[in-house]
Amino acid sequence: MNSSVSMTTGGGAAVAENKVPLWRRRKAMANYIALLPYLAFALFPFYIIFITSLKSKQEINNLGKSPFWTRGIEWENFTFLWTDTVFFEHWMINTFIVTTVSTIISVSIGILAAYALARLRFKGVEAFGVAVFITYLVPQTLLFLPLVDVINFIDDFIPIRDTYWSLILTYPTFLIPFVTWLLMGYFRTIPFEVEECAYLDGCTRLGALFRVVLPMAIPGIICAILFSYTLSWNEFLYSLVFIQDEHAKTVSVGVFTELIRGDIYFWGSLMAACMLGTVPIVILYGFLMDYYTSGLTQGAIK
Amino acid sequence: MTKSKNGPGTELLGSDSSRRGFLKGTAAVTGGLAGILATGVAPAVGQERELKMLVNSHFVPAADAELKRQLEEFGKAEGVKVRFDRVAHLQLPAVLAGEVQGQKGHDIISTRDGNAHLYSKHLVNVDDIYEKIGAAGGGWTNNEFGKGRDGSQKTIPWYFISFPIAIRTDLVAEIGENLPDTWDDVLRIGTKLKAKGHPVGIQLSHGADSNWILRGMLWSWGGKMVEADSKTVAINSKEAIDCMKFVASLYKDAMQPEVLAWDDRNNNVCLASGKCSMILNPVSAYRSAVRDEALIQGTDRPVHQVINHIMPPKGPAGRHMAAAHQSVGIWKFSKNVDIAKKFLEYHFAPANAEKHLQASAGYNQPLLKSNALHPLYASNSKYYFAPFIGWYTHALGWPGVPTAAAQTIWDQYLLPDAAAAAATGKATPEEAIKKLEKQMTRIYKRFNK
Amino acid sequence: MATASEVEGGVRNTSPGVRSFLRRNLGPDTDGYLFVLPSIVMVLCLIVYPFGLAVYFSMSDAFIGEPMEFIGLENFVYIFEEDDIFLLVIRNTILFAVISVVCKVVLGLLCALLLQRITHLKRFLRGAMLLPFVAPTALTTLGWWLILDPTYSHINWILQNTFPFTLFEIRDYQFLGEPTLALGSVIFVNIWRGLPFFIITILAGLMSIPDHLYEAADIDGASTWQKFWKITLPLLKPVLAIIILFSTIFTLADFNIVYVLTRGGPMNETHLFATYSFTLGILNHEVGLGAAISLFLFPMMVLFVIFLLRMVRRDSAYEL
Repeated sequence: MNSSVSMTTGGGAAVAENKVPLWRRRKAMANYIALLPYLAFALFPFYIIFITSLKSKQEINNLGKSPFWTRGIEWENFTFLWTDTVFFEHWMINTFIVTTVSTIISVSIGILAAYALARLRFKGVEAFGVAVFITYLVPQTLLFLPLVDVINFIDDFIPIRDTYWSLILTYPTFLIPFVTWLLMGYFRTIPFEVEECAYLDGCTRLGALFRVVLPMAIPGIICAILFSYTLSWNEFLYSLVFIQDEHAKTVSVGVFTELIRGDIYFWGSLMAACMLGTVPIVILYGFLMDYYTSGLTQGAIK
Repeated sequence: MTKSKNGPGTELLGSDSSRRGFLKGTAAVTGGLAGILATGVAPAVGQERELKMLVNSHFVPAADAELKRQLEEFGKAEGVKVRFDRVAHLQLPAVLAGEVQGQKGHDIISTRDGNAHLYSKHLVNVDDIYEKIGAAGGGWTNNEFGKGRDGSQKTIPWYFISFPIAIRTDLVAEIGENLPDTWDDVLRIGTKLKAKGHPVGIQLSHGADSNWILRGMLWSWGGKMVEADSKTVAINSKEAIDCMKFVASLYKDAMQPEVLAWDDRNNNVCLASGKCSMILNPVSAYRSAVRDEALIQGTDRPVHQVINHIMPPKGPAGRHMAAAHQSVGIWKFSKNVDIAKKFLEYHFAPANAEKHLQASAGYNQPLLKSNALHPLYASNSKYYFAPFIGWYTHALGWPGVPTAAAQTIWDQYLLPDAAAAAATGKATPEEAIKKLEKQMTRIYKRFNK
Repeated sequence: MATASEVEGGVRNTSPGVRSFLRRNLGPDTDGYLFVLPSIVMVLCLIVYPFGLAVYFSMSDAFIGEPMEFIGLENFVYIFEEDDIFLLVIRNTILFAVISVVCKVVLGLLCALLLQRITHLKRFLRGAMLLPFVAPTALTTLGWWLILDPTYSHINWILQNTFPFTLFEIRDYQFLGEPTLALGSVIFVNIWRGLPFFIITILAGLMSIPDHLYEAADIDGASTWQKFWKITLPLLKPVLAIIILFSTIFTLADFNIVYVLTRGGPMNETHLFATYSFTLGILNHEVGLGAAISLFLFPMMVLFVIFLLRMVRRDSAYEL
């Protein structure tokens, strides 16, 4: 709400700088004004999460007062996360590890598969392409029940049950099809001649892939990494089903299952946790958004 | 979904061994990396024993703090490492199921009502300590509780949680009524107070409160879920249908649709915020109003001053209410059964049990006779009901005993669903009960095998 | 999946004779098999095998902690004959997918057209619009939960305390308590979350339309409307088809929003396949029933994808 207000004034000032005809300026203003409801719609919940995280318990429970503003800033919700939960020392760190490792695994495997699909000619390559697409249609919804069994089985040999390793093992199932599909589109945009030169210089297949193709595909790969990162950071169902140990939980599930306890709620600390859990991914986007949008559209449209 | 070892049906998918061989391949490929990395993370096994206890988060957090203190004290004295884990109360069934499935997890777990029967073959027999604790505590108030399918004691009864009415006495006085004694009073007073903006708040939703209160109501009308043999479904009766009819009129005249979406917290919030006139809830609603210093809207007066507890109302067949029974058990797969038993003895020793009771501020109600008239209940006039509410409360599965089937029906919220359907007119009371009977029969058929 | 059998073994350490034999029969780039091997292993072990297991579970009376027996199609018969929630799930899934995808297309198109026209603050505006899509859904849905909560509802507060609304007597809306409103709320939050994906992708599609087409249309004296209908929309069709495909796949299988916001309630009126299957399979311990329910989702998705791919192929004539 607040930011949207500052937004318009910023927009207005920027428009005023230009020496353009008045009618054109009016029309431009109209565009900005028409965008305002969208912006308010997109940011409203973030504002509520933010403002509620700063309120004291008593203020949250005071239903007569406007819920959109706070009288004072209280840090008790944040300190509660520190003293009464393992939000920072486990949930955040687990999420970070799971996301990073499964992204690395998925993008590596995805690069190989996408390269083969985009460049190489061998029998069954088309069937493999279709298979990648179909695995995309097998939703997590269908797999989480049997996967519990698979994880319990693997647990007999390697202790992965109720640890974040079970997530690292399973997240690639929904990441790899997407990464493969995205990178396949990207690799196809790279001219084959470049690669041919590398072969003439005596490069092996892998050498050509690493020295020539990958450097040219960096925006696409960053996009794939970002996408995997977001998808795993967002993941909820597997984490909810596979992890019961409080210390092995990820942020989304930890907040959902551990902060809503007893028959009283901790709205303040719940919102504080929601905010802190969102911040890392938002910062990542702040830096890499351009890759995200360009890579996404390259991969998705081509 | 049982482990591959005891899943007799797995042959169908190919022989058991081929499935194993196949999976072993998987494990080798996918687990290689995991294995290397896991060794750096997993706790060292073997050297030191660790006693792990899991409880559902107590509604009065001080009780968990006291329990944790005792566990640590015990660990120090015995020279074992201890770990105290908590889980939100509605998550507990899923966590227990997960541990049973994986045959791995904690040593001591807190269980509810029918869990001892449901997980009978996964729990250690505790007959010996049950006897000892009972003898030291003046005997158990109810000897039916915590039995496994073979009749042996599988869990130690811990405490029960009752559902009195928590009521805004000032609002009732304002309209010139006395505090309600029967369900008809609740409906009459509730209707009047709803018109003034203060509805009654009884959940008809997927929450523990809803499950318990509706069972109490059913019994107060003379209905029952199951016969005294704990095997024959007996829900389809005129009494049960009458009860559903009453729920429907209570919903229509004295409540708001929000009760359909409530969980166990909303009724407390509704009371503390000054909106609801009465709810059925353990003392935690009152306790959180005290702790949060909630005020009556538009005044400086704390709302807890005008909240009091009264006995659950009387129905056509008398005064009955359900109570949640908590207990503790030890998993069979635990490698620390001996230490776990020792800790249970330690915790249930009169001095320690008394401290835990005290810490729960009246929320825990004792199942040992010696604590029934604990001075705690005389310390606050608002707890006066506690020593006597046991006269009217029954455990899950009454008039039978708490069984696996009864627990499963509880876990699936079948009764709240039926009541909500009848209340909103989605089904007639007759249809709702009929459907409930069908669902119950299916579950009893499985467990009666 | 079909490739699985063709792939076994890989193609290492082969003599020249064998190599040429392979080349003749398997194509020039036999090392391609090594490239796809890791993903095939992954897919076989963690998608194909569990899928088969799910089919098996659906035909058993699997129940957590109890021995399991094969019961044929009993679960499916039960679902069709006695489980009235299943019908609600089908209804909800269709409503959920159709309404939210239609809204996302219309709003996404509008917003993308607006964003294309602006010159300043582009980065900031796009970033802000993208936020709902990148933030963890479970966490932001908890925020919506507070906004729609029966007791704390911020929306009711606006309706009862701000100017134009105070003129009317507006009741307390139970956004999560009344079945229709609850389903509406769930769809609303889904639109909120999915819209940015549409905006950004459509925007990229708009940018890729060459300017000379519009210039030519200007010379012919076409109106803005005509340009939109004759140039913009037809050229956007492939992009629209792809994002509709994606969005529908995600929406059909959605779990987070419904589970966090309503847990399928009130009265099981807002369940989708994922939440109902979770409720049955995990919370109710009825693994067999849960697997059976979730199996219905797969054919629905396949049918939908075939339908959509047909549409795309028909429209591919427009592709430049």
